[in-house]
Amino acid sequence: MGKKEILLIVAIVLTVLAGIAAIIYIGIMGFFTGNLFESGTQSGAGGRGSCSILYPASAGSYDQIGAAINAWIHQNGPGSPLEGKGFLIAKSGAESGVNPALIAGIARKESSFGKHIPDDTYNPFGRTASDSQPGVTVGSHKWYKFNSWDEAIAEEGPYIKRTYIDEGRTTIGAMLAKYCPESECDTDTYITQMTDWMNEITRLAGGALGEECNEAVLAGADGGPTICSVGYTGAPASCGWIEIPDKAEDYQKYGGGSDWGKPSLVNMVMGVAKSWKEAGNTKIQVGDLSNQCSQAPGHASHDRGTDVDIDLPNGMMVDGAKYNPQLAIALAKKFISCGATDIGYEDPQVIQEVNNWATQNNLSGRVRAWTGHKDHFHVRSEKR
Amino acid sequence: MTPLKKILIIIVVVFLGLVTIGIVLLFRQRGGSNYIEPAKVSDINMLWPKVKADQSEVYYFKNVENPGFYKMALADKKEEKISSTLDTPDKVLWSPNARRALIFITYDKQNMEKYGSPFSDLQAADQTPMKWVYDFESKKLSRLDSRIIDIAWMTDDKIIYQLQKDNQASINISDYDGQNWEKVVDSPAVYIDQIISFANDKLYFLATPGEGIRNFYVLDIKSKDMSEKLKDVGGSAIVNNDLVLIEISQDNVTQLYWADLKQPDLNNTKIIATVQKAVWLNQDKFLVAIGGGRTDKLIIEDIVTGETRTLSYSEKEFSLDTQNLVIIDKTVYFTSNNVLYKLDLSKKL
Repeated sequence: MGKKEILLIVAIVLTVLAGIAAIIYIGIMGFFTGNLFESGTQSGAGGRGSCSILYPASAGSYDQIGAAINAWIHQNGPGSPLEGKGFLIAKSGAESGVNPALIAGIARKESSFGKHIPDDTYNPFGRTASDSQPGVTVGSHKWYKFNSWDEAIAEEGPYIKRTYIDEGRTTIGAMLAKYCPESECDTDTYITQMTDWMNEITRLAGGALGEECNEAVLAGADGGPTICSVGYTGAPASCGWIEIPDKAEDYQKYGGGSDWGKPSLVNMVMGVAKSWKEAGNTKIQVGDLSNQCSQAPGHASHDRGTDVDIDLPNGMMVDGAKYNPQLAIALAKKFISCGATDIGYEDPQVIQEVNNWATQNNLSGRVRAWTGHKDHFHVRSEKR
Repeated sequence: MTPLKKILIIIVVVFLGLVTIGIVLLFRQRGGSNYIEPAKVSDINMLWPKVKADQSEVYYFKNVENPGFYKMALADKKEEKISSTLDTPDKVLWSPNARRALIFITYDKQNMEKYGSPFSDLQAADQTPMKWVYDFESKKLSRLDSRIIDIAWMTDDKIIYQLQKDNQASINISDYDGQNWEKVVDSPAVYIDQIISFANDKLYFLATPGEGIRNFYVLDIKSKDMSEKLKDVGGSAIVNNDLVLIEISQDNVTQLYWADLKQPDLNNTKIIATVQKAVWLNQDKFLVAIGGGRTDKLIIEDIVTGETRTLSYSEKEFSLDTQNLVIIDKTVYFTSNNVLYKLDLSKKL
């Protein structure tokens, strides 16, 4: 072996060692900064958890944003102690460069807007405390104790900034990789809920919080992707509900003319209808939702803007001659993919198959044997 | 008369005319017979307030600080906490004497268990609708059977409710904590849509049997006689003795009807709008707050004469969202944005 060959081998070995060292270095730094985990979670633009948590550059006035947050809290947490705190939430977010919709969403997730908190802590955000910080210990956790709701809100924006944004965690997914990692938490559900909720507030803000995050296309349950929102805003009533268009390319309306629902429900129905049709199926039929801000006459449970009847032409009468349970199964999966919490339907086969699938896919929606639902779905978009 | 004097006289006449018009307008707005000033009872946020029959105290839930049940003396506004610290419920029904409260709360498994809520039940599934009773004397909570769906208080602090079991609902009575229960009758439908109220040994409720048509029923708990009084009715109803107010929607139009349960007929009211809240003021008159989210109008209608009166109030000062509407003697109490107001109707009835 000549000198040149020895040098070549040494050069190759050194190059390989340098490469290994570089990989180890990047790995260690990634471990310390959290960016390694983050890069595994984020899938780039449009991927899971890719929506930004930064204060939108095109944001409007605090008043508009605060009003939207107030309306959203009133819709989803009436009677909660955070009602009317929208302006403070907007201010806390804006002054810290944090999207205020995220702060409102965390309050919903962690305490139902302050309805459930550790005693006397005024802590709606589930913030933990260190040994030296004021707090209340429940079980193995010490929860931060604030002196008032206003103080907790004012602190939350800066807290998110220094804990996540300053580390480069500027998306929901990157933040939750640290805040709610999969080893401790149902991260996927958290991402879905936070994305949906921030979009709901963004819609209510009517442009004051910029554009919605277009991350609502999930992997399809069957037959292509499922669209979970079409970004339809309509003309909201005083309660924030919108009217589903009576005439549409993707579905047919039937029922008693109760066409109003929360934007999340209306968009879910329109999105599922669109993806169902695009997959080559016959249009779904959309029955009654609720009346404007009130109950649909004759439908006791269609009273909160979260419930709708869904039918398929020629195929949803259980035991009927043309009944096709596979269609019902596929349609139920699409609704549950999009966050439907309950589907009333009286076919044990559909119930078993869809619920098994939902369990395997870590989705919380279920089909339930509600009486009176042998010929249509009763789809509910939020838990009661 | 010089031209200057003429001009001065014209100016004086115009000025006096304008002043007169202003006074008339002011009188019509603030001093007219239909003007009414809602009076704020207290600045404190009160959820589900119950004003005592003698109007000396108000009981309520408060969660702005130190969440729990409170009472306040209306004379000196002195506030006292009467319960332990509690999570904010979804709804509260006070017993007639306010010694106990029925608490409706949805089980938020993650947060309630995480924070050591007094409503925690490790066996309960997330989002289970729970019903509890708080006894203010013992300061204890009792959980009611999960099959109890809808409840009303009886005058002796017992409860009357529908129980769902084996796909059949029944109407039952028990002590306030669910003990010593007895079945009264089976429900006329798979389940009862809504228990409206209980008074004078009668339970008023809505149910949808058979083909999806919703009917109004009255159950006499002494005789166990259950009768279908009104057929095919829509939204919620308000009962005062034998008088019923009920919403019915047809062809996208919602109208309020009234009925005397001693007669078979439904009668039109002049209210064709979404009713936010309604209350019978006496045997002849009812008050409705109209509006989907905010109260647009407060209207009194006399069912004997058919006359309606729209009450005006200073909308700049009061943007109402009328909730928890009740009448005690001739004073109407309601909340708006969780603040308690009262309307003195003694000169309006």
